[in-house]
Amino acid sequence: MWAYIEREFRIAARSWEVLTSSLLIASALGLVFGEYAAGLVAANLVASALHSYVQILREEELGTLDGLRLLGQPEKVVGAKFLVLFSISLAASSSYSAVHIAASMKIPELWIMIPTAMYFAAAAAASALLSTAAKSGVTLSMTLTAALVLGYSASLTAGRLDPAVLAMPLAALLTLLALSRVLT
Amino acid sequence: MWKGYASGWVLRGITLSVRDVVVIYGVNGSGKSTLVKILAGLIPPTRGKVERRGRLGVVLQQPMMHPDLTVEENLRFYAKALGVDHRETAEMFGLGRYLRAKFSQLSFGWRRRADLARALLGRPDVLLLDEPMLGLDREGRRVVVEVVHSFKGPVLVTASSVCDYVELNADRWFELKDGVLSPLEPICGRI
Repeated sequence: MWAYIEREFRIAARSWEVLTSSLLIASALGLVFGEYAAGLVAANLVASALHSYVQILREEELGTLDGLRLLGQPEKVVGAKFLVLFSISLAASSSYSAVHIAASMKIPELWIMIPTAMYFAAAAAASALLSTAAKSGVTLSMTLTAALVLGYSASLTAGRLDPAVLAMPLAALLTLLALSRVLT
Repeated sequence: MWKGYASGWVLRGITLSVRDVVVIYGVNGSGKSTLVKILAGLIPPTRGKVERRGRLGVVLQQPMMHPDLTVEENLRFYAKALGVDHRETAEMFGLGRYLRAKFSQLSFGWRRRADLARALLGRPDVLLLDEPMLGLDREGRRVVVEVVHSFKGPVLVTASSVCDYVELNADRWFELKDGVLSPLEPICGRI
């Protein structure tokens, strides 16, 4: 598994311009949004969408996903791709939160960064994989991501963090892993 | 085996057993790459089935090495995933001086050579090569011929010209035309 994770992090690091953009956009959102949860959703949407392109959709365009498919270990491929997307979403959330705290001088509920980054990473990865399976591209992936995150985002910004909403990230991740054998 | 797209059938009732060195000749768009991808398990046939025995080493026309990673990072990843070492194979293909270069910085010929090295990692049981000579110089073609000659197992090669592949001394030649395979006498210059 480590080889797969190492590969994904190396690819993310080589796309440092995209990584930097995600962090800068997230930081800028920290100045724009007055409500913590709303800005957190925006920061995660940007980061997960950009990096699902780098880690999944671009690999399909390049033909390099075929090499991974031939290894016959789809759970490892998807697991590693999720992990890097989660890490980047979490890094974007942290940048956003740091600026938001500095600007508002208030400490929000920082723990919601973790389920939010997890949910957006799983949703973006699933959307990108579904898009590649459908022989489609970025547009379909973005549409699917937007549709998948709508309910969670609405609940988060409305402050309704009940167990059903908090179970969504884990459910999305398990669904992603279960579908990996079919989608990759 | 049959394969169809919205535009029509690409492969029409193909039956093929690969036990030796087989070359499939066909013009561009005849369905050679589709056939290789189906045999590799990358796309499913519309009808029929493929039985695979052993691990496959596959080279498609588009390399499977990531352009942002170095040659060594690419080879090391595949080697680790297969539980083998990449250094011997890299040396065999003369990749030593290019190991630290980004894959995207290599010339076309060296990219194909590196991708061939990737396919041979972990000693696969069967080789599927989709137009491996395409765009290669004399030295690159010699490497492909050597790989096929020294490979201990079935090899399927696709070709869009006969002359480049005659040196492979393949056991059987076929022509893929209108979605159907028929035996071919490989006479360089005729096709």
